[in-house]
Amino acid sequence: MYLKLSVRNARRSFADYLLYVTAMTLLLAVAEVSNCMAIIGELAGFQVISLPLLIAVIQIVLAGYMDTFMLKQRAKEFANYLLLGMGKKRLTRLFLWEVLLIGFCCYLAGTAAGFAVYGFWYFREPLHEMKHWGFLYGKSMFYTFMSFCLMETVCSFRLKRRLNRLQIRELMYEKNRSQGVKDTGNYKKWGRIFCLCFMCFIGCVCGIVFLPEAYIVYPVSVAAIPLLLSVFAFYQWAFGCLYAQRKMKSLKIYQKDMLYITAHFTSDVKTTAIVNAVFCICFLFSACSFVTGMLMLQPEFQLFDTAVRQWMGMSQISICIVFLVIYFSILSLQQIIEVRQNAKSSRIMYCMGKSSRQIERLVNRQTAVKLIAPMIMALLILLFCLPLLNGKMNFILPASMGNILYKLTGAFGACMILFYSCYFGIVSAMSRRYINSSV
Amino acid sequence: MNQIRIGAFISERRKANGWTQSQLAEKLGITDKAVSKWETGRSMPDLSLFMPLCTLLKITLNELFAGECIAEEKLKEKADEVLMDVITNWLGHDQWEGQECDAAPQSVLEVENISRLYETESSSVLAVNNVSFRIPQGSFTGIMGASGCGKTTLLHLIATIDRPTNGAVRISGQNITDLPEEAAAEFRRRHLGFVFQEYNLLETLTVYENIALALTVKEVSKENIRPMIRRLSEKLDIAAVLDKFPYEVSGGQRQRCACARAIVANPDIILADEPTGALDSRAARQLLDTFVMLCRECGATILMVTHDVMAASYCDRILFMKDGEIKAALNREQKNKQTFFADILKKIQWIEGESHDVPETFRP
Repeated sequence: MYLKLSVRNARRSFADYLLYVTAMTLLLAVAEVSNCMAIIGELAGFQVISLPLLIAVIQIVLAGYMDTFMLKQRAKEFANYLLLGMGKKRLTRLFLWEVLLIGFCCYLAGTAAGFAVYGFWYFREPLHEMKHWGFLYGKSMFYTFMSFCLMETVCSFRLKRRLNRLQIRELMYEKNRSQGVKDTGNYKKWGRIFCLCFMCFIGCVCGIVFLPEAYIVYPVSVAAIPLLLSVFAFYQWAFGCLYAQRKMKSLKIYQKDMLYITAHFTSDVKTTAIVNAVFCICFLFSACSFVTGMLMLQPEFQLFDTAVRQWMGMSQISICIVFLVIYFSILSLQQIIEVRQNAKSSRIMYCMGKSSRQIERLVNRQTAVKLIAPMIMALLILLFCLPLLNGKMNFILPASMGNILYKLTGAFGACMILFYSCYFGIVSAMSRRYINSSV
Repeated sequence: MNQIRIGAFISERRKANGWTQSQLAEKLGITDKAVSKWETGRSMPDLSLFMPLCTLLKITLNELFAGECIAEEKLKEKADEVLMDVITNWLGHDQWEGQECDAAPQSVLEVENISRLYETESSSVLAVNNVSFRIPQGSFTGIMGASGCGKTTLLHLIATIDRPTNGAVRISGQNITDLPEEAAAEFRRRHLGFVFQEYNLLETLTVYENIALALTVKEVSKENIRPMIRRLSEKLDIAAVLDKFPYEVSGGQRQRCACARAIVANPDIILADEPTGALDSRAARQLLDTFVMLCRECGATILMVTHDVMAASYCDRILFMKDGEIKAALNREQKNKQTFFADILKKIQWIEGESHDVPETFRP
């Protein structure tokens, strides 16, 4: 009977599952592409293993977010199973198996799609003729499977702990539950950590630019630590501050649509901060890959021979695209899910006196903020680092490549605007559909 | 106590001080509309506002209730007169709490021959058929009928959520049937308040924020939001749960929060769609008492759709719907609740058997 009920409920929440499956498949396809690149790079004598590792970390965070989303969607159903007499252990096992099974199907679809994309772009190039494609597919699938297992193990462990903690009553309200922060003054501590880490990072960049060549290796090797910490601390501080404003009933948020938007972004304050930090890192990685790739493709840049240079350049640009796709696709999916979940809110706002066009504008503003929020810290970092690093590059590179960093960053900006406009358009169109059907 | 006289006196003193309605409202931390309602005799100031108002207008409480300036020599005589007036007013509400104004109350809502036809490829349903009625200012009117009789459709037509096939709906004198979408939204924002059966509170917002959201949508000045919510929450007994999320409070408290959200911006009319449907009898009674209090003390006009006889017995007037038409109306007049309850049951019985009898003529 439980199985019957479970299948029926899964069918009923088909749209949620569709979004879950799409996001998981996309993540695993990206992992497959990055593994293919790492394997080919390894064969060509380059060290690119850090790429799939970074993607695995991002995957764990995002898969955790999606699992939590599915748990929230189905929490009421689980409470009903417990009321019908099902044991907590059995319920946990059932849900974990379900997640694992869906995940495995996504793995098969994702690896196939990822390998197909990689093959389409790269297989015609001479560098890849050295090995049979079956070897590449087998090895990359194995690597992707390993990262999939790691992701599922971490997420299952977290889900199991969470399910064990929740009682029937809590499960009943889990879908609507808002994630609060006990100590609202905590954000000040994060603000201090952010300032400290950011100063350390700027110090490292200054070291890279101004220290003699023999000592540059030291700031280069540690720069990533204050960078990552400052990104994490910044979003903890920013969202914590917003949440504290809300808790203190600050007058600033009680005007126009500020209250609604603030509530939207602070209802799951901890998760939102972590997700934004992860996407900020994605964005930074993407920008670095783009600039490095484009630099490699410059004919004046004579560090390696032409074939290797081109391969490396194209790989870096592919990594950039991979990260941009992760960034925009997951954020867009998240926004579409939220608009769908908030259909009732749209209806209430309509009754309160907002026209459907005003609600559309409100949701578009939310979408714009959602897509741009993780970029804020990245832009701050670029603002401080770019002039310093560009000066250094001008000093090293020939005069014909003057201000190359500014030019390449400008090109990346244009690329971003293109991606942003496309994804914003898609989310806006889908949101309009949901809004019009709900009011 | 003559409300119109008091209103005229407030207006006179305000002008003497050289203030506009907005300036007085700003000083008291309320909306312009509330001041306008006092001055036209449509409502009285809240209890908590009497003293600040008197101080601002440089008058005594006696003078405010008397509706005129009192000379020093007549002070004792007039003070006794005002006190007597207040006591009579208070004790007189023991059974019948309806407002008794010298002037005939103005109609807030006028519905004229409205119909709503839903057509599909294979069939057509006349959900509302040629319905006409009026609702006076400050009244609590109920629409009763069995499920599917068209009462919620009628409410949606009044709320500008749906458009009638024929007829006209006027709220505060404005015809709302042909309003374009943006204007209809603006109209809902300025003139209507809603209370639904399922509370319809935003779950990601606290009770306080839910009420504040209605005010931000209506573009009330941010400085006025906190005092307005504080006053109303005390009146509706939800002050203790303002910082909680809707899922953390009881159904009755949730519905009172919805009620506060509907009334806080002082709408011309509150539309309630089966508001007691999801409540137990005690919480339902509390909510209905709140509605009655809002009518009597704040001058709110409420139109409630219900199929519950107990809920209907709190109304001043009931319209009975069947098959999309209004079959009969019942005025409470000065009956007590028990007698009115018995009358409603009789009327329902009569309507049930109406197809066998000669139909009663309903006058709007």
